[in-house]
Amino acid sequence: MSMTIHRTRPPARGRRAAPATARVLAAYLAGAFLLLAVVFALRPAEGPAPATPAWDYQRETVVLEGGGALNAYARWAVRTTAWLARGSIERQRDVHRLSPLDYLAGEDGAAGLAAWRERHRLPLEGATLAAVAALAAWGTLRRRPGRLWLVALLMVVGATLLVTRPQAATALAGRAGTAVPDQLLRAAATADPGVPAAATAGGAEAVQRTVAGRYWTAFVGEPLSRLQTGTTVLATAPPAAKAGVLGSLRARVTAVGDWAVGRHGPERAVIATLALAYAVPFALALVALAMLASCAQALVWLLVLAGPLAAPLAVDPARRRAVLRWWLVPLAAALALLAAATLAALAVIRVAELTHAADAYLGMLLAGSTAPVLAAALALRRYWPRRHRRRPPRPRALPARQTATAASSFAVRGGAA
Amino acid sequence: MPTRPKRATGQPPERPRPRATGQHPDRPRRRATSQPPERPRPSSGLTPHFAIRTNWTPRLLAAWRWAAAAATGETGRRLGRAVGLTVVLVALVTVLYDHGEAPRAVAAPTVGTPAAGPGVQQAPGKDPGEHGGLRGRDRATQVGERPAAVAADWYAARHGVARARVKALQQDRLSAREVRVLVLADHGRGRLRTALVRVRLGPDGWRVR
Repeated sequence: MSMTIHRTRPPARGRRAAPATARVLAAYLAGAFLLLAVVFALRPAEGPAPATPAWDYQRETVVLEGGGALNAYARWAVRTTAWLARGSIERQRDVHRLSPLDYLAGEDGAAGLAAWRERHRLPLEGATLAAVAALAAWGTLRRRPGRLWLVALLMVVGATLLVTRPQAATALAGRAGTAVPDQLLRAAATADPGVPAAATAGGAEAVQRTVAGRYWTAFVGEPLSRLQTGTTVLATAPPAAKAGVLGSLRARVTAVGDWAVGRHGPERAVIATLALAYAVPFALALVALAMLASCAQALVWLLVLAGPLAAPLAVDPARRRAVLRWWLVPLAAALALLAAATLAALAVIRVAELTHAADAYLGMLLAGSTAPVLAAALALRRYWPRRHRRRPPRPRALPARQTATAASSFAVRGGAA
Repeated sequence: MPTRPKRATGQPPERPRPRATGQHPDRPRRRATSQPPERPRPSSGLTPHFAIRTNWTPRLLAAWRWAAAAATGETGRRLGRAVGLTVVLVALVTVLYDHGEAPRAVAAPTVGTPAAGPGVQQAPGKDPGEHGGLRGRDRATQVGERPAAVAADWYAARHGVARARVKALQQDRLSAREVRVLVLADHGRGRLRTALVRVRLGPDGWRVR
């Protein structure tokens, strides 16, 4: 009897392409990040950002009266919470509003290119016509010209298109980076029962405004209302009317007046600290997702602009794989990454909102009854059989059976000798 | 080696046959059907019947046949393709350059209120044409006199929009010699565009930067 031992089959070629694509995308994203950082540092666009309508969180005024160290600390903490929440919302708004590379460098660069073309039109046009005529003659008069002349000809035409219409090209590339998050947000909002139908019909901005407003109310509005009045009565009031409502409450309810003038410093410090701790992880997650989306937008912008020069290479069959690998697949992956970052940001906001709502609901149920609930929990823990709570200890070494499993990665074929 | 067949003895030698036309065999042979081709005479001048009189028709026909054969041959086809492709591409490039974008000022979309933060909102201003009982008419301005008019003129000329369709909405004085003007242009079919135009005061008056 003889036995032949074969090693497991090596991975197929198709499987090797996946990490290569991931590596290309990672390298492109790193390049886009560096480019964005350089552009941010140089800041070629010094004008103000495109104007947008003011949302409620921008009209909110974080004012907390009261003297003393604890009140000062509570003021700092709640302002930091508001700053964090505002920053995370604005980063997400920027993803839906503009493509960062287009805004920082694209518009000015395109205007500069158009002005340069106007100044040097005669030599540019002459050189382009000469190149086009030479390439056409080369490709049609030679016996076996191949496809290189056609590639070069289409690239010349693409470059001419970019040079003669730079502003339209950059605007189109920037719009590709913002249209994907907008469409995805609208589609996700239709499936989300928490978003009202009126907001869904109003477009992506209305959806984002609704979601961001609830996020702001949960993490800033409610703690601020507690710090000002001891309750959440001011949380959902319109920002412009909050001062009037607070004044009215202070005049009528003495307890609210005590909170408003800062006689509950220790309570304020605890509430503000917990609010800050609650908001930090969600705000950081939203900012990180916005950064990822911005890098993807910059990459999409660059790849779309490179399209008129890269797409003609596909005419040559020998270069089609390279076009796929270095241009088309990274473009699709960047768009997918942008969509994934948008969806993840929406999920983070919804999870934060739902968590906070559940927390508030539990607090409402347990208000005034915390002591009996705590006592019941302690008693349960004390008298619950320990065997239900104990878990089996984790083995320190692999049992013999697993070693055999590891060895089974060798395929064994047996046969008669 | 092959041998020639011998003639039969006693047979008279073969005589030449008489001609069918009845000519004498010793006379030189003449063509009965056509005259020998005459040489082309030298041209006596350009006349409408030049080709006919000079008998160039066969030559022209031959040249035409040669040109047609060359045009329908491989070289001709290639040449035709080259010419056609070149004409199309030259037309495309020329159209692209002729309709190329002009460098425009950095424009920002107009919206109701800015997003600069709380407490910085401004009351929406009325259209300049509504002030002073103008009933929608533009305020009479001399071209080049005011920075707003200079900016509107520049925008209209740069973008090929009628001057009456460009209005200056607002202006910010950046310094004593520099003003930023917000212009609104109606490009037709509901396309309203705004742009910020910087105008600088020079020795010859206000000019776009």
